[in-house]
Amino acid sequence: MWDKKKRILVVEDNEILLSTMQFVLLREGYDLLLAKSGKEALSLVSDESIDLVITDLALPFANGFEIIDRIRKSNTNNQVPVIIISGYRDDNSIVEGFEVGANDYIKKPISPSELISRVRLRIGHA
Amino acid sequence: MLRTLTYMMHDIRAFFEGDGWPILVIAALVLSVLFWTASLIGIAFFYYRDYRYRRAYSRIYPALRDFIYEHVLAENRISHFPVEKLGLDLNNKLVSKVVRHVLHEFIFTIGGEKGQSMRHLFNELGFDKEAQYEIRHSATNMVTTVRSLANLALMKVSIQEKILDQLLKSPQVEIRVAASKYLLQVEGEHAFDRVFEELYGISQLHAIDIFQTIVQGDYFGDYIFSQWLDVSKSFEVNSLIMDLMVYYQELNEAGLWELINANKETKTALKAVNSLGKLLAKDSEERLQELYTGESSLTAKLEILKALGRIGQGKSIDFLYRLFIDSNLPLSLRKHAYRSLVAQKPYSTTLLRKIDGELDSEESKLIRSVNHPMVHYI
Repeated sequence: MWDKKKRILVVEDNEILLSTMQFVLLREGYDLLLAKSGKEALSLVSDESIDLVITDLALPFANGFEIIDRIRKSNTNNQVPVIIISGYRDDNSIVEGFEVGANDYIKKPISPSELISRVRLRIGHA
Repeated sequence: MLRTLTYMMHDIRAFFEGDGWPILVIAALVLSVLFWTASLIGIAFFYYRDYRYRRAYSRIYPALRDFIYEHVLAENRISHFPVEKLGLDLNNKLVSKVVRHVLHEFIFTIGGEKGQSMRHLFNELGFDKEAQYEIRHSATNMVTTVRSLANLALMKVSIQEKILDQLLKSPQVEIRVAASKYLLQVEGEHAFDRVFEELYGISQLHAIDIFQTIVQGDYFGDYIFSQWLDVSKSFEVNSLIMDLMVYYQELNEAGLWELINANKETKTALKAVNSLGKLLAKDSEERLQELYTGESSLTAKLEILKALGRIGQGKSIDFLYRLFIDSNLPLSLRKHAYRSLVAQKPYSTTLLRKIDGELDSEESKLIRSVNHPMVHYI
């Protein structure tokens, strides 16, 4: 029997970054769910089984902090690791990110190899 | 003159009485038609340019994106990209503009080694030479020079020392600021001396721009910004230096007091008082009280009270208490005195308890306002 691929929810409103992460993570063999807004992400979080969430902070409709908060309060995916990807470089955003329950924080611009190694650290290979 | 006016009046009257259109009305109509035609042409031209750009973008973006994924991300190529495979005519201005924009977006998005490879791709497409050329040949054209400097800064491409020096000394402030930002982005803290030396004539927006460029870099060193505080310089320059001092928590009380005592420009002195507070200049607490006593401006007094509250070392609690209970003082001063007392807890706890027991209705209203969670100092 085949092992089920690990599934990652990527939440990013920037088309270029979203497609770049899609390209990089698909090459590594992960299964992806993509969302361009907080609203889309929240509906996926409640409906789908997810192994990892990668989210931006500044998003339309619901920001990254709200998404993480909702994940931690959900019944299905509350233990899922979350990586924040953000252009906010100040200490407050980083601290707040960890306080609401994120497991990691990557500052933009992202290095694809760094992203892959942080994803592997959280959920292992695809 | 009178005769002309009489004719005009006659013409207008004749128009309304049905004798045909006078020259004045015809002229107004022609001008109005010309104005609307020119406006419509301008709007149409704007939309047409936008349409052409979006059409070119939708054609070029997928090709360039796939090229980047294939050669930069997948193949791990660092340089010598097969740019001829792109099949783009970069001599075409529109194509060149779109390619540059798409590459900028990728460079802002992708960091690390791949980001460096993206910069090489940008250079191999000839954009660095184009920007260098524009800087050499359009040094007087502000928009082109500023854009080229931003491009070169993004790509971390070096500019000839002689040209950079000319740009830093340009009579146009926009160019000087763009050159300073270029230097800060490319050389980081090594550029500080040179940038601050050439800093003059900037606006507050320029100061914010330079401040952002510095703090967005990963500088955590021990540079002494306060060495550039100078009473002979403008408020904008000194304000930028003070903002940097506060951001990096570099306390230089002597330098700030020099600005206050010079009394050259009120807003510089106010900013210096504000900075003393934000830098928690505990040795300035007594001097600030003396300054308050000799000061007549209400704004300055308020700024001093705020600074005392921020410093909060307990040396000014009696002074603040006296101000609060003085019913002859303006309410705004008493309010800030109380707020600064609250900020000095635990030193002020006993006094605050005493105040709570002696409040009249006006004071109690004032205190409720101070304690409201939405009231903040800036």
